[in-house]
Amino acid sequence: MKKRLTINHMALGSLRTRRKQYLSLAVGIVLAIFFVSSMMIIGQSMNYTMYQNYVRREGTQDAVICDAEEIDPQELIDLGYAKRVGNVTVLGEAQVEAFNDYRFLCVGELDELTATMGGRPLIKGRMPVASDEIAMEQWSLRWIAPGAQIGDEITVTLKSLKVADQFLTKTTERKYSLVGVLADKARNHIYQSSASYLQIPSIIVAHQPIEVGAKPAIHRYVELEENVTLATLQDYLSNIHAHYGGSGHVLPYVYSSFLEMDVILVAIEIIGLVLVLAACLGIVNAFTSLLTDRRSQIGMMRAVGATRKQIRRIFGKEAFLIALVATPFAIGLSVLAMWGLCTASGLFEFYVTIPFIIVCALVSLICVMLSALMPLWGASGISPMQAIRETSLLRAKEKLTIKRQLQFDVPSLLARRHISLYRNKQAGISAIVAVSLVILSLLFIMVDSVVDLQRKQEVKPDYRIGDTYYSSDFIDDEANKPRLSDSDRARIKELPLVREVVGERIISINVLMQEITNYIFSPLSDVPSRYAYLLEPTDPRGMFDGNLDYRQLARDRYHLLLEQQPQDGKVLKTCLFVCDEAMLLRMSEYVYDGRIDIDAINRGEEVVVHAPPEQGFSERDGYGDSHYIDSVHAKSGEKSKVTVANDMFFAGDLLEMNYLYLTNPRVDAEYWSEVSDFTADVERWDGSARIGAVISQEKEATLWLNQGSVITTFAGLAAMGIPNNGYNSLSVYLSETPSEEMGEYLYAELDNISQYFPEVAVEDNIANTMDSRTSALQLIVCGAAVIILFFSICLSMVNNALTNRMRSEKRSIGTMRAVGASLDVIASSYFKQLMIMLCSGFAIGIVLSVAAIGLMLTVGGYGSLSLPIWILIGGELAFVALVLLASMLNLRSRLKGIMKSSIVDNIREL
Amino acid sequence: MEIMRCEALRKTFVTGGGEVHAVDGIDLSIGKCEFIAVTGPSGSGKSTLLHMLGGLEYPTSGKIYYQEALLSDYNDNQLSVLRRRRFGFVFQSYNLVRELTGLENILLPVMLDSKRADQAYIDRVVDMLQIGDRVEHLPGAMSGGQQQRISIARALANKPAILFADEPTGNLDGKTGREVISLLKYVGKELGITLVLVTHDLSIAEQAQRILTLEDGKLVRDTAAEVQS
Repeated sequence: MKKRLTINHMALGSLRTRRKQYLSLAVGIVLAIFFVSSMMIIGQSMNYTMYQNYVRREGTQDAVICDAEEIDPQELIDLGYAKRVGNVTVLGEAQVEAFNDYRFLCVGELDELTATMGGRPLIKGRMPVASDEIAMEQWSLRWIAPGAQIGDEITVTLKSLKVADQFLTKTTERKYSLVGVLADKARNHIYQSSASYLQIPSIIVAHQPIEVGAKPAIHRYVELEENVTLATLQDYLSNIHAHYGGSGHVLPYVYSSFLEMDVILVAIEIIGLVLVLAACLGIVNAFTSLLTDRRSQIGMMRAVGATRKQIRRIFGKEAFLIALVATPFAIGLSVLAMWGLCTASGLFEFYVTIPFIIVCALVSLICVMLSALMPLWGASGISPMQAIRETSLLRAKEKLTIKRQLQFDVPSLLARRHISLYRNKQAGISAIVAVSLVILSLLFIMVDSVVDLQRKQEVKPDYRIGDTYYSSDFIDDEANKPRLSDSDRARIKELPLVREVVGERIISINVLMQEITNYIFSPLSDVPSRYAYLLEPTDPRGMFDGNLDYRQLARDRYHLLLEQQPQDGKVLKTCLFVCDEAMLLRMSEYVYDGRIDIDAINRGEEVVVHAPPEQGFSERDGYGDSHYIDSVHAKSGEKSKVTVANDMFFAGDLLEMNYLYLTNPRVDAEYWSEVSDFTADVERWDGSARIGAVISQEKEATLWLNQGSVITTFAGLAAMGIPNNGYNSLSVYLSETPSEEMGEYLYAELDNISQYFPEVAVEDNIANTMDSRTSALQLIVCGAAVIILFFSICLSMVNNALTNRMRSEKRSIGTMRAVGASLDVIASSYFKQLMIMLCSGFAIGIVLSVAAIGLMLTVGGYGSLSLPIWILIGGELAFVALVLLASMLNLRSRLKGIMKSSIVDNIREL
Repeated sequence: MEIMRCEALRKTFVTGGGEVHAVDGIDLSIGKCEFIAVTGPSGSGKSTLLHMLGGLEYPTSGKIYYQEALLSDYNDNQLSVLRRRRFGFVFQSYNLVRELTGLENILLPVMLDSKRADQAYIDRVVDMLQIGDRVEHLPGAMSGGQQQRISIARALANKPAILFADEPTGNLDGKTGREVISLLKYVGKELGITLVLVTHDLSIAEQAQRILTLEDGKLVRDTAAEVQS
């Protein structure tokens, strides 16, 4: 007895008989799933690798709250801010003879938790466990006991903490056995100018006896809860600090492959989502094309009594069978391909989890079925009359007003008519083009961020040797401190791979102004602490009534200055930044008033002033003073925010300056407030120079410049007669990324140079630069893959639409040929249809792209674009032009294929 | 006066069962303004002969001359131009472009030739064929007879020298079929057009000046030859 004919049999039978069409559909689905899952796997592997690298280097903590003994770790956990909190006890400062009391190394003890989360990779040995054991970072070991090996006995001179509560009452020598050497933490170099007790310890000890009554400083290592941001934590801490009057600060360690670039993450999420939608759109289109081709068959089935539900079930079963085969195949293929890619390239570790694959498979299956649903619904609505005549066309025509015309261009008329009659079927192509362009605009934002970051990275040196110190007082008490010299610079230049060495010097000077406006002073309720000395007791802000008495101290000191060193105007404490000619010329890009005349600057007649055309200020709850912000990049959560235009510095104005300096440092004075006067051994230089140019920003200097900073060249400095004994810093730019061995060699050489100078340290940016370059490369590769994917989807949709149309219009093509239409005329008709669809997609896409960019810039807080917008428009135009060109070539070859058959074959009833 | 000639015309199709000689060595001369009916049983090669004469299909061998010019010398573009300027076709299944209205279908060959439509002439043809009220509709909204009339109007739109009609009444009822044939005769005579009509309906064939009968691809009877002899 014959088997009963079930829907499964019908579906399978249909798949068998239409094997070729279904195979191409299945290939399309496999490709869509393959691309999307590959992107997801590669993204997951990329993130995993970068996170692992980061954790190895920096640890799992998201933040380190320095000097935070008043913060209760349990409370942080209970209030839902932190998952885990580790402690580092800062026990004191190790004295280094060569530093001559200018600088100390931070000594600390890690608790068990911090030892596991703190990211302290050992190069040699182990961590200390007994009270007579010690481990150090490489660079600290060079200072404390150069050449010491594991097991050697080391004597460390421990000094009591300078400001915080005491650990030791007096300087004490202790002997330790060296048990481990740790990798250097870049952070320790970067924050070297902070007080030692605020640093991350570079020397680790264990179970140290603490003298009775002493209380060491404590850093809290915090792993934030999932939904807690650094800003939330900071808000909480600012309240605690306000309560305790503490000053602990937070070192951010929040992991992000592109720090402070949330916009990229948002863009990636949107792209991922759109990617899935686009893949679905492609599948919808493929199913629609397939079902369109079978309209008569469906009409016939309806005519012989099939219900809509039965039609949906038959064709749904077909879709399900395809999805069931395609999904595991595509995912397996993508896992295999990505594993191969990761293994072969070595760029990142292959990382994929089983739940991820299951989710991928389920999502793909659901996406395919959902995508098939829409065309199935449409197909089930086909009337039985469809089997007999083209009823859908007549329905479409009813909505159309056709003008009678005796003169027309055949290809144009056919194109227009097709577009209006098959509007729904064509809309997919316009939609996918528009979506692609929106994706391009998001990728543009991503590339823009990468370019911006790369520019910053290019500016950022591979190594920096030097210090960042300059006096916050009216006098420079370290004018004669030993500094890096020209011979050091020449020695560095001779090192392998060194492309450029840039010298910088920063000198504290006073600029005399007739008026100091809110441009510097801030119109908010408080002023930046640096300028608190300018506050008059009569200031409406009423700043002298609280317990923040530093303002009164600052004010008193200012009056002492005016009394002992008469000034012809109001004094603006600022800095003179001295750099190479080449660096100054690079700043020309940022000039918005005047121009950089390098000869006049070298003669000491002119200077450049750093003063943005508009200055932003903001205040946050719990912070004592208003601070400068970039008006565009203002962060959310600020209490108040205001911008003030530059009304103080203009090109052509004469700038009166003086430089007060001590030839011998007052080592007895801890703070400037303790420096008694401005008379004893203070030397004074007075001079003036015209402002040649005002620049809006500076990205070139590695030293931080504030508003109103004066900039000149070394030649200009000499011409002005200001004494100088070297460089604050030498920035080293390499011609290529060094190998690990070469990196170590370069670091050691620079470290050797630095040891002659007490406050000079080497900052190694190679790891950061490499991370950033790798991330940039990965993002660009992903971006390119997304573009290729969307290009393929567009082409495939156009191909599906046109191929199916041509198949169903074979007779029309034959008829056209019979009445005398050439290949060119027929091709031109399709070309025009294509043009209309792509142009409308392009127009919609451009509008949406510009809107997306606008949203990112305004609501998204992206700031400003580094790349010109025409690159996006040009790129989008090129994208559409390429789709058009590729589709045209495809179209022509398919038409030629059809036209190879005779006209009679074309018009013969199928 | 001769307008078209073919010599030793042959068309062979290769099928699963071997070679089929659809047209097997036909020599023929067609005079200007002649009304020729090609008849014969199904599969005798009538339509194939017509398609080859009209340049829709290439012969396997033999020559076709149109006004002393050999059709095989024409390239695809030249052949397209010839079809739209000199030939008109009427098919059994009408073959209208379904997205174009009746009028647009009629004007198709004229517009393909980038000419201005002779409105008076088109109106005359439309009147003659009595389809004035249907020309604004899409083919899907017309009856078979109406579509066939549109198809005839399209074939006449460029004032062709020869009109080829392949079973133009095959899909029509008897009355409409007769009307169509009368129309073809009428417009052929009125406009001075040579008419080559394929039919297996003897009553229609008998209305022609000359009847060609095909059997197994061979010309077995030509009434013109009989008259001469």
